[in-house]
Amino acid sequence: MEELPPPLIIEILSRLGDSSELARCRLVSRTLNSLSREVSKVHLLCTLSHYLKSRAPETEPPVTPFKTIISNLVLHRRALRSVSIGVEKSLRNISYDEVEGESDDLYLTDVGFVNQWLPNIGAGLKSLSVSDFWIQSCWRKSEILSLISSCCHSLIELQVKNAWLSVDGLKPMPTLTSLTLEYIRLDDEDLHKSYQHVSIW
Amino acid sequence: MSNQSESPNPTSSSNKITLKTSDNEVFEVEEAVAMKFCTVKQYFDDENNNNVTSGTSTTLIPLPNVESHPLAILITYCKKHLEIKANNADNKKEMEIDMEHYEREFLKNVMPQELTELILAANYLNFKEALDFFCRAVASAIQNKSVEYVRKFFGLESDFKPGEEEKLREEFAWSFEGVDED
Repeated sequence: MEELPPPLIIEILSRLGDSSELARCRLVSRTLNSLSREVSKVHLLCTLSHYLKSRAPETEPPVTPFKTIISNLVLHRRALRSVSIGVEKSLRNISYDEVEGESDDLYLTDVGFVNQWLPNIGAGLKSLSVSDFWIQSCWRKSEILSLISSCCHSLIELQVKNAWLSVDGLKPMPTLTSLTLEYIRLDDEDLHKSYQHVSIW
Repeated sequence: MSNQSESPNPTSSSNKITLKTSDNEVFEVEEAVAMKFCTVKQYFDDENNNNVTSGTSTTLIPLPNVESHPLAILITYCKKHLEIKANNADNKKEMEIDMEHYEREFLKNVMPQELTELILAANYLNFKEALDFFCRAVASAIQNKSVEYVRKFFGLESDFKPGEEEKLREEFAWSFEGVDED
């Protein structure tokens, strides 16, 4: 494989399952390490095992918080076209009383968190998907839609799941052709008015 | 009258095109097959345009960057691809199922080292479906594998400076969950 030209290696790396696969490829050699940064997507879900380890105080060394992983993966990657982050479906089975009160380590529609990296890469994004951790997101109203609409001028596909969304400050997104909102608490029923050209699922 | 545009099914097209590889092997293929190789199609179209006035037609297309071994495999793949497409012209889902099945069987007869030459040949010929397929095949071969396995698979040695790899391993420790045993 070493004789393949870089664009073809990038083609291969782009077809890996998710960003953890890609992260391991970075350790293979300096060439793969630098080419992996050319891949135009970051797709990563927080696994149940990562969640459980992050809750186990005896884990040594301590696991990297999921939000830190995401920030490091996307920061300064202006060539990114697609970002998809979320928690695995298995985390939906976790009940409220198992969760310690104020944690927001997996509150992914958190504007403070998204604001750390989205303004930097938003202009190039075509597709963005955030699948939040309902237990942490359902009681925190997020203004992420306003942030997305002001940073992502060429976004085509937007998907947000398991969150409480505010539409305050939402700007028109003329390039958007697909908007998927699933399991969303929305504080404004006028979304259809501002997004008549978009098919809302 | 040409019937090439109306008959995507290779069995009903009788036009043949001859391809000559870098190791001087000659392949005679159906036009429908050859036209899936965009590089060949481009050459063919250019030649035809040039020959409109002289009235001759080209039958031999040289492929100086492709050897006979990968070309033979690509032609087989292409024929099957067209056949599956023609058989399921009105059912995309069925077509995908048939194609997946064929591709799985196909890979059983391909050695990892052959994938490299197939990718290079598909890329040179600009045969998009095959390039996508072989790149997917490599990606799934290294899916869930350790760093050492991927190095061996790609024929690469670690060329990091001392300390560099350890630093990366620390940074990406989270990505080692659920990796297969070698």
